[in-house]
Amino acid sequence: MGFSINEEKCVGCGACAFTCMFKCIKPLNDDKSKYIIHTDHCMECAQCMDICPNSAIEPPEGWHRLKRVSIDPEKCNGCASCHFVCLARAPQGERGQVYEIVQEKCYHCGVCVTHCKQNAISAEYYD
Amino acid sequence: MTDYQGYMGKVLFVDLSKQTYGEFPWTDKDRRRTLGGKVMAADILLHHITPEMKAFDEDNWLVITTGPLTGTGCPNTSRFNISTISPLTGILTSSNCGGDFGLALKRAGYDGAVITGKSETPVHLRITEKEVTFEDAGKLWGMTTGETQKNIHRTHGMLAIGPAGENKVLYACVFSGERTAGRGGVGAVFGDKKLKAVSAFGTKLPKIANREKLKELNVKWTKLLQTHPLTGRQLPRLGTAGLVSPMQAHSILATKNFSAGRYDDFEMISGEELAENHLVSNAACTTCVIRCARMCKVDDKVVKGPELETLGLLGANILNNDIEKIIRWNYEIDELGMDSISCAGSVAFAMELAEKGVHDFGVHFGETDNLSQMFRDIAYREGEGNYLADGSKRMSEQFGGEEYAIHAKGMELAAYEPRHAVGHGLGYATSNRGGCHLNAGYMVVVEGLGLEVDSLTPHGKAALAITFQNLMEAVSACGSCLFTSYAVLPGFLIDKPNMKATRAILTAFPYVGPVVNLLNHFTKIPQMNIPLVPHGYAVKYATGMRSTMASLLTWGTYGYNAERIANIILGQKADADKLPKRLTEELQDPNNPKTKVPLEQMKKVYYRARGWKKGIPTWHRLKSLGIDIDKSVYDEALARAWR
Amino acid sequence: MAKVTVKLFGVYRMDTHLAKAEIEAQKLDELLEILHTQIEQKAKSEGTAAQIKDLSFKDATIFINGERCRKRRQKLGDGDEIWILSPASGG
Repeated sequence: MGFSINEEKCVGCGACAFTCMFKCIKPLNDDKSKYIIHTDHCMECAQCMDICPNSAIEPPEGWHRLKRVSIDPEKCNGCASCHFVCLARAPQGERGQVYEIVQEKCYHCGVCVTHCKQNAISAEYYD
Repeated sequence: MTDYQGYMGKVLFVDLSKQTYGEFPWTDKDRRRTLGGKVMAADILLHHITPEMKAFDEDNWLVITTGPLTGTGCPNTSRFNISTISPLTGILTSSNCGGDFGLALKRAGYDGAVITGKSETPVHLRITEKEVTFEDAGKLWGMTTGETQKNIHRTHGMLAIGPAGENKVLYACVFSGERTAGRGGVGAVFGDKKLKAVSAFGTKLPKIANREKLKELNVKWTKLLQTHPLTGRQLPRLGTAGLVSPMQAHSILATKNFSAGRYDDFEMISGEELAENHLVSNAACTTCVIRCARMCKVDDKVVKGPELETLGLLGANILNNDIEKIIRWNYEIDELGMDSISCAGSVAFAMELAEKGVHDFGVHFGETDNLSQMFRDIAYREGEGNYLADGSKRMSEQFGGEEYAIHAKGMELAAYEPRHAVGHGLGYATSNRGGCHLNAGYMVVVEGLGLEVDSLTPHGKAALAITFQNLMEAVSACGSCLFTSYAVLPGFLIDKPNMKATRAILTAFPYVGPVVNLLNHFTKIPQMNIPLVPHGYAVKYATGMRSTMASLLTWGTYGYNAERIANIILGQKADADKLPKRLTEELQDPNNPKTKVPLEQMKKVYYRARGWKKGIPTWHRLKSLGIDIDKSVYDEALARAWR
Repeated sequence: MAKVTVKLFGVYRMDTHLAKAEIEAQKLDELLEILHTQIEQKAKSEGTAAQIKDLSFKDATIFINGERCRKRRQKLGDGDEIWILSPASGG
């Protein structure tokens, strides 16, 4: 799983490495003329793919762009793990009470979905 | 807020005196009128400045702006702009930079930042999506640009000044990574405001109006840039340094303080020498597919190597043939944080004043061992360096030598000697921020370097200069690197300089001036886009805004006129578009009467074509462009300009 | 026959790895032919022939003794210096 860079199409512009919030894109060589994604950290948020000028970045088979995440108030226990794991601090609330996603902060990486121990966060995808 | 995509929809306003921040009002109407980048900044400053305002006033604004394409995935769009009143020239400067700060600012949710006031103590302005904080920069104050940036963490991009900015060297610059907003002394304004650094961090990226079409365009655009003879072959292989040899051949390599256009030892300071013996690897601004920067070794460090300007001005122009020294000096000047062009120009002037027995500043043509010390003296305003820190114009006012103080409007000229490329000379003189070769319309590219239009004829040059000035203004406003505008010149013409058809077209060029001027005046004619100028399509697909060649030329014309009238309000005189007498009255080649810049002749055509009366936009012209200022302000400024 | 010096710049130099050559020729077109052969031989032995565009130099910008020369049949003189350049731009 994880996104991958087509080495032939990569033009070495570094936009992907700059953009990646999870620091998983590094130069392939010393002269930084090619880049590579270290897939174990990749959260498939697609920001790298969106900023690549040469369409050199491909999603894995079966990937769909995340449209929206939302917290089920019935399941949320207010532990705030989602708030702290989110780099944009999109889940907002008070400890011990139901958290809510501030949608305009969310950049659709899905980290909170996988981190929630209560399975309280659901994801909607584009087709 | 905005109905368009591409933009983040917010412009930050920061008051350093009160340590407060908020939103600067900016509407979609403003976006349609100015697009972004330097045109947006010119508009903001035009509506803020007053005739008495000076660079080091508390309410001189620093206006930092990105373009709508920045962060959208287009190639070569990391460029952002810093505009302010320049302490060097007293008029506006707009300084462009390819570092990461522009991208970072958009990630934090802002298209731009307007900074006013002065901090009492050194401050680091930290911008995030959540808030803006004023961090104490006491520990950073005194550090070089490199050290400062190493000590700022948890950011996506930053701006930093070095000792030169702290000491208000009039041409101090601002660094972002290894790139610089170099010209006009923006770093001195930062220093005056005790703004040591600005950093930005965020998770956002701009939304795109038509993602599919933009992606398709970007792949084609990348291919265009990579296959074009200028952007795809010369720039990546040789960098801007590759210009030294062709400049020598075309007699436009400024030598010994612009007393000649050729330097005997040019090969020793050439791009070929740099690439073959000193290049470690290429480097690039983020998002750039050209990758022209040169990484070189200084001691055991790998640092950014010199661009053309530094090679020419610290090489031929001071009669130095040691390229290793230039690589080292470039690094030192970068760390101190000042414009290598103005610094080198001031040094060359000092050398000539010493040679003529006017005043000995301690620097002499051909002597190189003491220059590192002089650069430090300039940055710290010590000893004779204190004079050089004010630039060649002020030096000439104090010591004499106006005829060979090589500046226009107070800003030192770039490394291109214009007596063998007269259109470029016109560009230097009419450039809004002073002696800038890019604001000039970079005429040298058609006067010999890329295409070979007759470089000594004044015919047609005014028309071409205006078109390129306007187009490059718009390219800059998009957030794009100006080098993307070179791909506008058809590759097949550049690739085949000896073909009969090429010769015929280029011979005819100077005579199509009147036709080109029609286009310059009626910018709304080309209501379509052309593949050689992908910027028009890109703005449309990224933002959803209506965008064609006509839009680009109109934005560019707006920007050029807005900056011009702002400068007049700030006190620029009607006859300010001048060059030093060495360039307009002394022949570069005593046997060729054409080798001086026939400036007055070209200016007449230029002003007429621009709709200006002797250097000043007419009221009618301003109205027709939609530039909205008070008639009383205009009338007062006009009266003052004519005094 | 004139003994001349040829200096290559720009992408021609970067492609061929040849900075300078001393050649004997009467006219410019002869000189360029000789240069072409020399470079081809050098490239064959180094295995780099495929990378060089325009070995005939027909699209090159040529200067003789500092003057732009467009005549392929230009006569050469002893001690002439020929510069071969490619187009450039920058900032």
